[in-house]
Amino acid sequence: MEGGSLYAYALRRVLISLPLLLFSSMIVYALVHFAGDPLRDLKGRNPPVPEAVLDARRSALGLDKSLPEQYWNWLTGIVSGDFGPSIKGIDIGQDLQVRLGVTLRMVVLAMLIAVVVAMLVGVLSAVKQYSPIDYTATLLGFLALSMPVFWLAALLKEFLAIRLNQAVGKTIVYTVGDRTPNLEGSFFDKLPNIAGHLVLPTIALAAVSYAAWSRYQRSSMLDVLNSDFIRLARAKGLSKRRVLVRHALRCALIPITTVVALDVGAILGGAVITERVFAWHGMGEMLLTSVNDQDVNRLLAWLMVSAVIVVLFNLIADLLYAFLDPRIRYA
Amino acid sequence: MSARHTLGRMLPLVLALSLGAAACGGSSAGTAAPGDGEPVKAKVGGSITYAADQEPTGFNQLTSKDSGTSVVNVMQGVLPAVFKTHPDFTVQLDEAFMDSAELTKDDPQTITYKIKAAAKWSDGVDISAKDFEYLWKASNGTNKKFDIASTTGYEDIASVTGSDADKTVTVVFKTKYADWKSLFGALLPAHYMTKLPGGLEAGFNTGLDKGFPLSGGPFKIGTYKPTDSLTLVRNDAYFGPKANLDSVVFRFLPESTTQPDALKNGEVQLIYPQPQLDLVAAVKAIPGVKSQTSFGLSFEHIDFNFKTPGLDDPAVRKAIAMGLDVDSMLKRTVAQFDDSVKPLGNRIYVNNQKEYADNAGPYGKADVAAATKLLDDAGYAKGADGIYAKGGKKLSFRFSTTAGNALRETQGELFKVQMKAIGIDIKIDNSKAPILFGERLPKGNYDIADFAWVATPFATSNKSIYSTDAGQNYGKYSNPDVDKMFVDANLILDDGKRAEAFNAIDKKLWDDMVTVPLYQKPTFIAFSDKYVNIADNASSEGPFWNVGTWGLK
Amino acid sequence: MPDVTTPSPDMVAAGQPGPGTDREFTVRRRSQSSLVLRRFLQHRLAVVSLGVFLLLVVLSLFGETLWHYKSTDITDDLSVAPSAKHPMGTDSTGHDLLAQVLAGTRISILVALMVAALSTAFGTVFGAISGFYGGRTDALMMRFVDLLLTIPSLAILITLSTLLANGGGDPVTIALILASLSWLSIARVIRGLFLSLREKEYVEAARCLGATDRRIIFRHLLPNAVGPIIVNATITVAFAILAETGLSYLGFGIKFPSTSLGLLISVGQSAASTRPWLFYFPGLVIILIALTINFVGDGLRDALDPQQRRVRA
Repeated sequence: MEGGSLYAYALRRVLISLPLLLFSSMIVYALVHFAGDPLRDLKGRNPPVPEAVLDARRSALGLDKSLPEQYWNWLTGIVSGDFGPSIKGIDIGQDLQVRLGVTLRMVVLAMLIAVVVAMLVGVLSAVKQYSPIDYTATLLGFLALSMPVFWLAALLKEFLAIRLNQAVGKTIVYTVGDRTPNLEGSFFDKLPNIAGHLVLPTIALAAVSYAAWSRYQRSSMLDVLNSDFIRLARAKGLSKRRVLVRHALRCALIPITTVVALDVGAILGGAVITERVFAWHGMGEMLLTSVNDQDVNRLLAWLMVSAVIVVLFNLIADLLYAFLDPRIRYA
Repeated sequence: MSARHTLGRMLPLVLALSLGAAACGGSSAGTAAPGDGEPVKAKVGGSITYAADQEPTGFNQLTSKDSGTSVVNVMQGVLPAVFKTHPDFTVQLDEAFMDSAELTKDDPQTITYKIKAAAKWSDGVDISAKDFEYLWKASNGTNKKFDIASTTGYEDIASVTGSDADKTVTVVFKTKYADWKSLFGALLPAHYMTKLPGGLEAGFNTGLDKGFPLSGGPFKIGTYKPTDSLTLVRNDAYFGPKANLDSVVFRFLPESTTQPDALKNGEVQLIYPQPQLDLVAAVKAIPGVKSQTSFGLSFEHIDFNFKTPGLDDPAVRKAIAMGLDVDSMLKRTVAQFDDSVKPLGNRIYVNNQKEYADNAGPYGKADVAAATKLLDDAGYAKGADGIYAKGGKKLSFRFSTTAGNALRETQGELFKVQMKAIGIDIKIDNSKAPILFGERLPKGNYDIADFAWVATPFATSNKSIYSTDAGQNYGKYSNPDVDKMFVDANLILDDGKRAEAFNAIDKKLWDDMVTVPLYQKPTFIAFSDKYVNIADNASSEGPFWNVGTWGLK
Repeated sequence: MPDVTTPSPDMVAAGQPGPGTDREFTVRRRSQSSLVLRRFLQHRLAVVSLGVFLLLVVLSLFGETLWHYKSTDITDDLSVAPSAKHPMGTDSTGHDLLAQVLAGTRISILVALMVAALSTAFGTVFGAISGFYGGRTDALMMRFVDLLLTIPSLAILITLSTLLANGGGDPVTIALILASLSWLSIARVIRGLFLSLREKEYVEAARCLGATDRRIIFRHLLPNAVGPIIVNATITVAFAILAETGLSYLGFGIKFPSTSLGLLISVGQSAASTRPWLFYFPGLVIILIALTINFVGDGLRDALDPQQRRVRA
């Protein structure tokens, strides 16, 4: 494919997504605005907070202005990189930075594991369709798909973490947080601790994606195996192994790649529950607390970052698709 | 017992639960206030990690923004306080910090504070009358630019004067304020605060958002990693007894259900969650962990909205209170993890305060006959559906409490059943806590509510709950006699006489059936038994009131 | 090709008939449906699952009237382990857990079926119109879908729940909230299908005979999309059951005094090590429901998409 047109295509996609982001921010801003009084936490205090304090807070947060005015102020701020004031006085930019790192660590690792395992299992069950391996993989996949994440998490904590730690007499798998506070030392000193914190959340988060993707991989592999060109390759006398690896696998990877990229949004959503069960301080917690606090600026910051990630990965999905499937041309 | 039919391994568990789970573990449950004796000698050094359910919002607990317990817990060991409430709810002078604080004149009320000569901020500047004056000026409500959480008491002060090189402070009141010991509970360094960028008010309001480098207590703030943890380190410049522990780590773990596992797994050593049956049982089953249930100053109660037609009739309110079965509520909620809980018969004082008197009389004892007689006598008649009505208007009310709080939801369910027995229809209509407290209660959008009043040992604060048109009088109760009694009681500076006056008010509130107190809320602390001197303080001080004495065995 | 059509992000994409299937669909319908039925019946796991699921539905509908406790009954057995009297034990208030699980199952299934029905109906019509008319209509309608897909669904669910129900509410509200998002994937699938179906000769033929757009959409095109619609609806049921559970866990789902499996399991999850029956029974029932629906969906997919069957021969 021609490089220039690809860039043009990518640029056009980005430009198209800008109004999308604008509209979604408007919708959410309005939704939060009508969801209740952001100062209710202060109003319910015991002893009561003086009226003057409430007024001052209202004007500091711009709540005394009309909805369009508030939104406009937010919009002009965000363009210059200012997320606006948080109701709880949180520095939103810094907050985002820390939390994004925490969440991405979990999400990226979980996705990697899920992709690799899903591909292996998917291909294997397609090649050995209706074998015990296929049935076991199918059953496990469906089980993971049918289990509430927090239910699985409770099982993992009880049976994987606590029992294992008791068996070895030392904490190697952790149940809360992303690392022990005030961890000192070099990267390699910290590694076991960070890894020990990652085990459970990654398994919980990867399970659902693995289930969906392995099913997907299985069916796309079956499609390819049934296609004429594979029959032709076999008929030509190529070894089964060679046909599988060189021809079938390559084609069967195309759909899964794009599905994975498109699923990023769903995984970010799924991470909300995972983060809560394992007490990680990531984007999910930010979503929940900002909704509960009616902290509109913080919620919108969350939203913008998540939406940009989703849009970005949609774009990547398209480009990957084009890259992997030479039949597609960008006009 | 039905457990016979099930797996043998469940048996001990079921037994433990049916016995109220009080006997297992190495725990000391009860209403006494253990740990309030002399602190035990501990090793110097070491660290403890506390599972904080909330991240502090900043570090100035005097602002409305940061007045939550998350900030108070951190600052307990950092800011000096003239008086501290001890676990037995007595208010005692901090003798490391103050030589004396006494009422030296009745009219005008004058308090003389003598600060210890050695008392210094960690940067070497004296803690002085200037700090008292700064706090008063920020808190008295005259400068509206200060984001102050409460002006109570400070608004009654006429002047704050320093003498003796500012180590003696004379505070003169313009209006008598009986609970003067509640004042100056967290002093800030005036010399530091006034130099913060943004000027006087902004410095107070937001100047401590990112941290607070000084200390006038055994600990100071070391590192703060937003969203993750905060570490207090020993303040080596502290003028009082030095802290034993090198550091106290506040690890932010908002989901309390994760705390028992984290404690069991050694990831934290101290937890202070809202107690629930499973949480308490799970914690008590952990070897090497000490736990303690206490009953604090906050209490659950049933609140009536006097603006609701039907509830404006004292006969109906009294019938509800008569029909209420507090014992049954306790049995199915709190008593399952601590059977020492008792019904509460007073709204000003709680069971384990020395001023407490049980004024409940016949109420709360499930007397269905008496309740229905009250309604019959008041002219109500039972309809075909078994619900009382008068003039075509049925006795049907909404019951509202905090959604998601399992204990309270159960209380609502039981309330509904108990009210059905006396012919009153109840519809459950719960809301999440911020909505209930921030919107529905202040707007009077409820009929009957169940929530807690968080009291301090300072009974004057009740004035704003029961006086006509007062800020927290959500039910719009009004009785000029009670209004006057509150004003008078607040002028009595003698502790014994003041308690009598407040108990008289409480009797009056029972007669008018304003609210029905249910029980004192339990608090629950659990920690690794490697540590000594940790003890809950179920007043508003919380567990960190004596953090300086904590240490490893 | 100006606009690349990517495969739908969801599992449901697998339910889309592959190339060549529409030829099969256009053959006489009756034989097609009996063919599908026969293929489905060959999928033993799916048949068994369907049986189990229907049994659960019947149990949840009538179980409470047969069982000697009701979900609102308050017994004097507090937190007792499973026994003959209380096969699933009781909670701390004294509720019989079996009665609660039956009531919760009924509400959860009701919510899930409502979500599936609402979102399938709306998503199908939306997708059909978008795909049938194409062009600017399609672009506009699909941008709207894209817009909603940009926001991670959980954020919308939570915000809607806060807005409409003060953070959790009665089953109907929760069903509406869940349906407001789950129609998106159905709309996309149907739109893609219609985009290709509308080019078929028989559509042109129908149009020449003077058929209205409405008639073409509902009488000619929609029957050809029945397969993917059924598969999607099935999967939406499983999605809704789990989504309701997730929302309840986060405190934005069905609210007391209503009950649901999601509410029971989120209350019970703190009891995993102390009163395990409160944790395991509602959880196992949820898994059983979701599992059986997923298997049924899988069976339907296989039955409606005979492509994958060839390998077996």
